[in-house]
Amino acid sequence: MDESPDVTTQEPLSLPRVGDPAPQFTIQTTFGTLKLEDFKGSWLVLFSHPADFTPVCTTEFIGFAEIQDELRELNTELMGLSVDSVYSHIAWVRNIKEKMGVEINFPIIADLNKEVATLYGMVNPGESTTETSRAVFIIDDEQVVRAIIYYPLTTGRNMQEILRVVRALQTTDENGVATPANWEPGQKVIMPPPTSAEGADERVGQEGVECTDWYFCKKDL
Amino acid sequence: MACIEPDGSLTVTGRLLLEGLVQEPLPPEDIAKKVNEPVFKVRGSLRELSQAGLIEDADGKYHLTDEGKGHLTP
Repeated sequence: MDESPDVTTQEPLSLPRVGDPAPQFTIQTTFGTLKLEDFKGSWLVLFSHPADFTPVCTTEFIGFAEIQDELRELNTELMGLSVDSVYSHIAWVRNIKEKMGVEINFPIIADLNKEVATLYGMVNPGESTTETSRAVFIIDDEQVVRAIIYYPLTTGRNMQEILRVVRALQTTDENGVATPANWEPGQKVIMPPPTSAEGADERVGQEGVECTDWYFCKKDL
Repeated sequence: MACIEPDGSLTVTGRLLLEGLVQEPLPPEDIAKKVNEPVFKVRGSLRELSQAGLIEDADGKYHLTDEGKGHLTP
């Protein structure tokens, strides 16, 4: 009997991975027609939400609006997306301003045909076939996907974590270092482990570097 | 942001962008600084104005066309 596993070849679902070029698109938004390439030179937090006029999404939009200035200081823009019309988005944004006093100053994609949602794998059919999950794609200034975070429909996102990831990625790019668990700006960063025995010896004695062992060294920036 | 109304007239944003190009051709980054808007938003608007034939891109710098100048004439 053939005991080889039963492998079925399937068309892979479209989903960019970390390190991939961000899939390009042209789409209608609350700021008119935008292309992903319009954001080149800036970082972008591209996020989806399940639906307009829903409570968790409303708290998230307020949360995103609250971190927008901090993101701008990091040369980072925001753009939302859901499977709703531009008219629904406009009405919801106006409602948030009227009822909660918060102005939404970032574009929202009207993805009625799920074009961008499909391109980025934002619909999780096991959860819902009609709504987008709470996906977050952090795209850098060269339009490369640098981080992907998914939350389920029932769990609102942590805005401080999104800010922290952007800061960590930019810190890595600027300094050639990694960041440890729960890292926040101002804390020590991780030096990449040496790749040779000689490098390991040098690392341990290096000035300004705090080594627990040759592979585990931290430093201040 | 929308630059042209359905009747073909300019929106406030459209006029502001065209006025920003009266002095000299500029790249989107400089226009964004001039009108104090993010570059992505300006690029979208410039595309709309280009498609309407009001501006043209030459080597990354946008300048007014005769039609664009006509829209600024009182």
